[in-house]
Amino acid sequence: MTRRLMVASLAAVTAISLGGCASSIGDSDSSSSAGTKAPGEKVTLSFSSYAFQGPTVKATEQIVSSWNKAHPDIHVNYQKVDPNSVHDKLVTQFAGNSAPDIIHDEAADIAGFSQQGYLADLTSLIPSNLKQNVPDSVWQSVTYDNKITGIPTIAQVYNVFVNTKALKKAGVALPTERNPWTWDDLMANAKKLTKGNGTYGFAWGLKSPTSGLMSSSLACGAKFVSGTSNPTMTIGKAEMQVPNDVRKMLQDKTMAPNSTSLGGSDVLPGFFGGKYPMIMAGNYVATQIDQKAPQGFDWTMIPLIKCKTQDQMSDPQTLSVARQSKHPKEAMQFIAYFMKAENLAKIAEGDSLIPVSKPAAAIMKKDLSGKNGWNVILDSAGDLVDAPWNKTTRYPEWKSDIATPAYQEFLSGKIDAATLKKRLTQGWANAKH
Amino acid sequence: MFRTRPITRVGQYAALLLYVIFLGFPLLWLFSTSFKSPHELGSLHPTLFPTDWTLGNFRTALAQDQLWSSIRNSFLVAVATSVITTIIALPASYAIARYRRNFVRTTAVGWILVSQIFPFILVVIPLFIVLRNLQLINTLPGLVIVYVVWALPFTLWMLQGYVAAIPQELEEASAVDGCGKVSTLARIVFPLLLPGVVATSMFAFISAWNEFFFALVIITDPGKQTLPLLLARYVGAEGSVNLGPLAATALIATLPSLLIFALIQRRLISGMLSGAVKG
Repeated sequence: MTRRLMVASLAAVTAISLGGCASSIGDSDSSSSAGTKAPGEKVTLSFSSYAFQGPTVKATEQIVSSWNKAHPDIHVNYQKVDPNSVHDKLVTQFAGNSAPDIIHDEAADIAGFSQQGYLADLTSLIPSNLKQNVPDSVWQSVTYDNKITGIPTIAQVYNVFVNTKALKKAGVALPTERNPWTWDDLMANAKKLTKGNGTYGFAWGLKSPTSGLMSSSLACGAKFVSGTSNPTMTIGKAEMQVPNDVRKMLQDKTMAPNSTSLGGSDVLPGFFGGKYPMIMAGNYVATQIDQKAPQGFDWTMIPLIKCKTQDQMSDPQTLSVARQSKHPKEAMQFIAYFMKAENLAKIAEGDSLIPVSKPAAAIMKKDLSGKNGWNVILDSAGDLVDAPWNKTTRYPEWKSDIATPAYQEFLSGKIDAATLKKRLTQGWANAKH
Repeated sequence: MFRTRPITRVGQYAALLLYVIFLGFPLLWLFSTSFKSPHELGSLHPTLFPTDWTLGNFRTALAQDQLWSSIRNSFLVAVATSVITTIIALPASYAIARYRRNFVRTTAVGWILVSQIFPFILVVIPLFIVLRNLQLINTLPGLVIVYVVWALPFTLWMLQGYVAAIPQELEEASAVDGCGKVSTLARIVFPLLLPGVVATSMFAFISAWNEFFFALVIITDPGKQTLPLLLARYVGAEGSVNLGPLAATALIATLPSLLIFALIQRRLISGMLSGAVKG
């Protein structure tokens, strides 16, 4: 059992066994028992955020500070949390009835908290302009049982970064937004760029392959999971296309074999050193390229790889309000302020991620003046679609215990496609939920 | 008398050297990383020492608002844990070691062993709720209480080994010479136990200094966070790490422990040896 699941189970057991100490979730209803601020009353809200990059932390501090100046009666306290401990910390805080009022997390993680009733339903509190500024497909990814429990902020896509000089030298033309590369194009160009002597055309840090492969498969029409009450998994042609293509590249040695054992950004030294002129990674890697690339290194992001579409998984970062909060309306007011275009653009620029709100994306486009392919990547918020598996409770365990080792064995050639399908589907059926 | 052959002696020194390299290399790498520029850290062929030394990472580390407060908090918590644990463990370990047929001893030893079985994760939520009810969430005293409770069983186990290694005849001789019980403890037992006390208090200090998970759960106010919480914030999602500033902060964070170790090294080593041979 993963640590995350263990903590969640323990929280449930403890919340029941220590019912006398901690007020149970069912005792309060954010919309009914939550206090409405009386005129002149001072309210203090806690806001936990896992902002990590220096510029993002600074932007968050500035947003909180400007809010506090403009709203002397609603004070927000910013609490920094490290990104890898958000879940564990929240589980404990929810069980102990001490959760922050405003919670920064991500769509896939709040699914469980939403189902357990820890997060307030914000549907009726969202200002209409905020609702309109974000694509419906993204709202869908934060809607659980018809309740919106997280306001989507910024998101990532998996895209190809290229060394422009190397591609030019090899006579490989860059794709355009109207004519993006297909997986076949990527494979053909990886072949052209492969020179032997340890230089491969393409690399993808697939140490944790599940998210990237599943997200990229959505463009091929993959569904993976269907049904809501007892979701079932189906692995067909669409679900196998991307894993098959990646395996082909590994077998014909146009993709660096060692990259499958590396993390997402661990391929960067090889990218900088000319070992592979094209890498697939989450677009957040752009920050690290900016910081670490040697002088004179020319790079750009190219449009999302097309299969039938360019769809990718929508798993945006979110801002939620704890159901235990006594001031959900004021918390939502702060979230709406945080989501103002100029604020969200600063946050997204700091993290090199895509703001899901169109006005924020427009500001970011202007700020970045189209460098490094940002214009086309910023337009890809419209390609983000709801990934049904993210809303199932069995996905986290299936991902770590079944899918990740199975995909790794498939890519390394230890098992064939039929065995992969069998392991993924049987593992899903047996996963706890 | 047994004499070591020269070839054996060379082998021993070679093994010792390898062991020292094995232990020292991570620290050397940490030192080197803290002086490397972001470009050098992204290089395909990393070098043992920076080709272009920079203090940029230290500037970033020192610009962190919470660096000094984190060091102070960690130091306060670690010292308090160490002192309180030792004060409790000292008489308790004496009782456990000397009153061997006592019911309390059997129970205490059982508790010590059982308490080591529970992982952090199993106790953290009940502990959080208890501390919340005592209004000790987000307070350094709350953290100290948790660390003392967590470190005490092992400290007690360690220290009772040192007490048991002191011959009881010394106490009997002291009694024959007219010393009372308290005087015997103060003049005879405690000086002999000092290396053990140093070793166990260092154990408590280091456990508290390095601890992350309880601090993560209990502390929310940035002004009260400890060093491990600050260090964790350099590691982002999806494996991205601000390696240079992380190494620089970690190096700064290591200095107090190194300093304390350097000051009490001799006593600590003799304490460890004493426990190892006679415990």
